[in-house]
Amino acid sequence: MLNDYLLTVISNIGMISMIAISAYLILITGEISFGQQAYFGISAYAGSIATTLWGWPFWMALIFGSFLAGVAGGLISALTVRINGIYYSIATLAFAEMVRLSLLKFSYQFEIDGEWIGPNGSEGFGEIRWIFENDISILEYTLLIYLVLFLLIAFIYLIEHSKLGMIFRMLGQDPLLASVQGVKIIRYKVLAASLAGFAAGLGGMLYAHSFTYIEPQIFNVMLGVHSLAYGLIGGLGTVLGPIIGVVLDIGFLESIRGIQGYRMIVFGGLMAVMLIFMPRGILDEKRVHRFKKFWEGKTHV
Amino acid sequence: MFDLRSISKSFGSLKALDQLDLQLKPKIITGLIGPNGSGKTTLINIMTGIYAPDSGSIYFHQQNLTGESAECFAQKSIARTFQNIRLFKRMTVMENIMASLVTKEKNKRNNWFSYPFTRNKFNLNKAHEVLEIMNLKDQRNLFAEELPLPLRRKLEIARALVAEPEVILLDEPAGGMTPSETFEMAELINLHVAPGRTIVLIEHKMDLISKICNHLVVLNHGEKIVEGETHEVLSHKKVLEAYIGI
Amino acid sequence: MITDFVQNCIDGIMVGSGYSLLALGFTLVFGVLKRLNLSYGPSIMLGAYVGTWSFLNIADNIWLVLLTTICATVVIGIYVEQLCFRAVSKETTIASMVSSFAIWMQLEEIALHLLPERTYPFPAFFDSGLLEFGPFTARSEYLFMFVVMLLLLLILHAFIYRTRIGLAIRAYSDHPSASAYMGIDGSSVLFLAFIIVSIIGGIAGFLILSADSQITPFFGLWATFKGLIAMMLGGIGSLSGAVLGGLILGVIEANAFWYGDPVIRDISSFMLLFTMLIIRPGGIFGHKIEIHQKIASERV
Repeated sequence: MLNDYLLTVISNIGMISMIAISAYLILITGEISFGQQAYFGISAYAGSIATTLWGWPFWMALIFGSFLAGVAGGLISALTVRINGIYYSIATLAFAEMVRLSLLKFSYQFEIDGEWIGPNGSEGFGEIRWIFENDISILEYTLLIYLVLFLLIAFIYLIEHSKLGMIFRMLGQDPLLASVQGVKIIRYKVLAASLAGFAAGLGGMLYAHSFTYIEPQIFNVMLGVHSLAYGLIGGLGTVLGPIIGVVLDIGFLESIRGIQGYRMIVFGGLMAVMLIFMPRGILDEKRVHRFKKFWEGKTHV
Repeated sequence: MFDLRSISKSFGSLKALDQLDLQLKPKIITGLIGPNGSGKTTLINIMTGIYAPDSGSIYFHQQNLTGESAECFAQKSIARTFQNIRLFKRMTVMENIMASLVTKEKNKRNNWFSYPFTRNKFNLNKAHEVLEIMNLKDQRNLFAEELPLPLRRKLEIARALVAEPEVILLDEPAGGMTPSETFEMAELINLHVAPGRTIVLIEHKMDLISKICNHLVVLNHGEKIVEGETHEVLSHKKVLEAYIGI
Repeated sequence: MITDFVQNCIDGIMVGSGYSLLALGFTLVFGVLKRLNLSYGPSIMLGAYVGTWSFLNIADNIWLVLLTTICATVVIGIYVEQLCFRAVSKETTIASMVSSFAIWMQLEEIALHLLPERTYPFPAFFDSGLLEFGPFTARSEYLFMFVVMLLLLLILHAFIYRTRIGLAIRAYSDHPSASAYMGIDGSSVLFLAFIIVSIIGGIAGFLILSADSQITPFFGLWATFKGLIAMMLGGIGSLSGAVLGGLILGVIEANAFWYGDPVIRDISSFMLLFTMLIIRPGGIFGHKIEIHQKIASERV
């Protein structure tokens, strides 16, 4: 019924959604990070090392990789609390490139069944065989990805409607005013960045196990900027915004065959035009609010 | 209770405040007047921890707050409004008011598990009360950037009020308003903001000052030139000099 | 040993003058607009592709290549300005950054359609020669680039600080709305700034590529990165800072390459940038910038 190609596209949407959510979390706290791909990559490597070389169970490796990514996110955010705006963006970009280039130098191999396995610099990290060893079909793995994505979205949704979500939005709109309301800015900025690192990490670890091969080049700046763009297209009013962005990009590009070869020209132009009319995306704060009110009006009657 | 001792603050070569002493008396409305550039807003910024003074010390209830962050001042139940109105533009009126309740720890019902935050009964009731007082009830679902100026000023005051602070610093609450709007604002402050609170009010409109302030402090070139009862100060020679330049 | 180091520094300054040229464009746009034009590198790349195309299809004339490169870069610059900066609302600075990135993807694909084989030879300005100064050497085309870069710096400096138009640009960059009251038309300032920046970009692209004698689509990313790093190192908004930032970046890269390898060279340049941003965000020669100062300056 579902062919493998379609499943790959669907599972891609799921995994890329996680890094889009990660970029979105930074965006709502008022900064632009060009470096979320670093956390995606850190977790992809760490998680794959854990399953392939250390023989850890999948879930533990997933948590381990994402946790590491979250810690890295928090650390970088703690280092960069003094700077904002373009300085922050460029600092995150510099960090992400440092990570990518360091992975080119990173070699950590074990001999397993007479074969050397593990990350080896620019040759990448192949033979991440957890899926094959456990006889998991593409469909099952796609479902697993969507289970994780669902949990992540539910978690972020809960956060957004709690005190913490309010604080994040306060930070994003006017940090000075937030501090006059008694919000400890630095603490929450670091927290948001750690959460964002964790979310990107989930995506990265799943990505590595889905493709069974990773190399540093995957985690270049294009991935990071795309993930930013998804949030800005889909909207910064709700966590569903970045996911709409991913679906539009990956789904839309894959579905229109007629524009093959020109798709970046079309898509780039569309995106630029859209940002003129909806600078905070399709589901921005106002539309989300109106939609909620509309919904409430319906259910109350 | 709010005690500023020989505060100085300069920006580059400009001395905004020079060895200023100020003691606020509890439950009294202190007007802060002076020509433009006399250091009024700088003083308020120092009293809310946005700037740290270059020298001098700040005590609040005998507690030394010199050099503390704005967060710390806010936690000590000091609220303020801004001359250039600052609101969370992409939040509704209701959310703007809720935002002020986010960090008020003394409110036991306002913990991490009160979910969802904007539907918390206890907070909602408080917010509704304040909205009622400030006549903002009908606008509660509008976004802050959609409000006209007088309502934005009111929203700022509502946001300060809802946290139930001990001290409120109002920076030109009637700035840019018509006489009738100014009159309404004076009524609001007298009826609902002032009772039981210590207030500092910066204002240029003398009718508003004489209507609400009990006590006046006049600043000029970062120095306090006169302090005293409102009617005395307003007829003081130095004040007339500073304002009219006789 | 020490001669190696000095030779590295010379090489670094030579290559770094290309970075300085790119940084000049970046710093001008950012100084005027306070927004980042990510598609600056790719627009130079596409401009140079048009130049190569004319070289392959019209005539084997170096001046024609230079002219078409500059003209094409200017046209693309205007396109970027209209779409990403003029039309996007001023309050949402992130939107124009992302939309300039969207245009980046567009430009790369257009370049691939124009010349589908990715790597093309780029004509050299004159025959490469090795100039010797005692034990040290320098390639003549890089030396030429260095001289052009210094000349451009002087011209730009005179233009910004000595002419009426320069005054208008500075006024606009300092306070757009106040300059509007003075009768300065913001949109024409923007337009002009983009044209100047694109001309510089065209010259920079031409010189760098003719020194490399080949062009690939990666040049866009490369130019954006190098220009950005050099600008950030030197200090945003300062012309001489941009030039010095470029030279410093060149020297450090040359030494890291000599004592290490290409990966170490790239890591060290990003590491330098990252540490710089943490320790002294305003750059070596720029103003010291801190959050508290920013708050102080924006009249609470």
